[in-house]
Amino acid sequence: MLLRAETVACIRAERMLFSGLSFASEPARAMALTGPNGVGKSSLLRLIAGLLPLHDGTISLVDPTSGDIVAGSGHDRPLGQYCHYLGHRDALKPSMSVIETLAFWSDFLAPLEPRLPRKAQPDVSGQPHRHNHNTATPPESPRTESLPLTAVTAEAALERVGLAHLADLSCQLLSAGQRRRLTLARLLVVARPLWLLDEPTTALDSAGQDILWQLCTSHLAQGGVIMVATHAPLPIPDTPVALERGRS
Amino acid sequence: MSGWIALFKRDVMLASRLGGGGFVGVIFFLSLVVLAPFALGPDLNLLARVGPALLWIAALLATLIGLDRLFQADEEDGSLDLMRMGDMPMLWVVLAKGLAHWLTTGLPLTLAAPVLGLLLAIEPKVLGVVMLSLVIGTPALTFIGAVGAALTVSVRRGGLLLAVIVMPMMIPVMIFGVATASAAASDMMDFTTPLMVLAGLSLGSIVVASAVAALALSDPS
Repeated sequence: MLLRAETVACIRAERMLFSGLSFASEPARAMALTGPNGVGKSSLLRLIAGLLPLHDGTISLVDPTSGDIVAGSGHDRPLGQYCHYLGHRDALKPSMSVIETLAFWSDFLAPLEPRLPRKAQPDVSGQPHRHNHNTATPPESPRTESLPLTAVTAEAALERVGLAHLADLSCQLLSAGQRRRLTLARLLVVARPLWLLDEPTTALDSAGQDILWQLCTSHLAQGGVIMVATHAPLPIPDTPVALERGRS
Repeated sequence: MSGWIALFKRDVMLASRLGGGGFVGVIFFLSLVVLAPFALGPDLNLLARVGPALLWIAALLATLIGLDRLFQADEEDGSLDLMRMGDMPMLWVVLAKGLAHWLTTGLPLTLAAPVLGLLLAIEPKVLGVVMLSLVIGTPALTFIGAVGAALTVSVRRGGLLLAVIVMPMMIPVMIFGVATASAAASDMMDFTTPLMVLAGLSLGSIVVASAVAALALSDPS
């Protein structure tokens, strides 16, 4: 999978945060999103996840072998359904246990299934359209062949992030680092090609950070895409995406 | 579908656990109705006459309690963001959460109504009809309230604002709910007529209000 963004603009509260931002992911490399506080790193991640309106430009997930757009701009499937978004708010309920939380999210965020092919939306942005099939032959099921990602069970995910012994503990008793580990486990129980991580190392101890980067490495090796908003250099191979104030 | 059931079960579970707010509505309902005989005096005829209306007002207020947290709790901890990104249309999310709210608020209220009806000296025959009107009408209260909950989702302490927004929209439900009970009490007219209108209001508001609430929630901002 490949994430490609062209001339993206972000407007928050009638203020232009950035515009004309273009980037593309490279295979087996995470994208390191850097920039000063308030420049719009989190906003960009939310923009990609579809949680903020895209004012200008295109963001799409592309199949690197066929060059077809799989989701996002130029496709009728929103990008959000292909993303895991790990933000500052961890979506944990104090009264639910660790295993209940994971089981719920793995049921709710149902695994991506091949959908009946539908006609792609016309590209209104004037961007060059790489989706050149004609309408007589609708695109074949866009994902099965391009998604080797596999989800694991909730128990296996907890084992992976080192929380297996706390499975029945309620979330309100978890420490900040343990909560973060639990949100990492959510990345594993449902397979999504694109991971958007907003300062993922926050509150994690060094063992936890090791687990995080191992998970990222194996996700990249499976053909996944990762974008990390970060202030520290990443210990994994990365492509820099730098946001600057007042960029246009 | 399994995702919908998972969400429904999660919300019922959250509401029934400590701090979830479910069933607190019933206790509030109980205390409101118990207060009435003290405030109005022990005139049994008066109590029997205003009893159904009191039960309905108490049910409305009890439904409003906790309704502000219907979507706000999920908005604050980021769950709603994940739901917006997911496959499931927001309409189904609203339906699951609304039904779970009704199951933990509206239904227990209805089941508690006969006990409280005795305190208000309501005749058994009328009590049955009041219960029927509550079980049919409380889903309307929940789903109309869901519109307010969706509109005030990002407003801190939006509970009062929510009440102000949704109470006017609940007036028709209230009118026909109480009319059903009065018709049953008076023997002058058939109570099924207002009951049918109430059922129509309830079904209509489940559909329309869910769609409106879903629209308010899914707007990216």
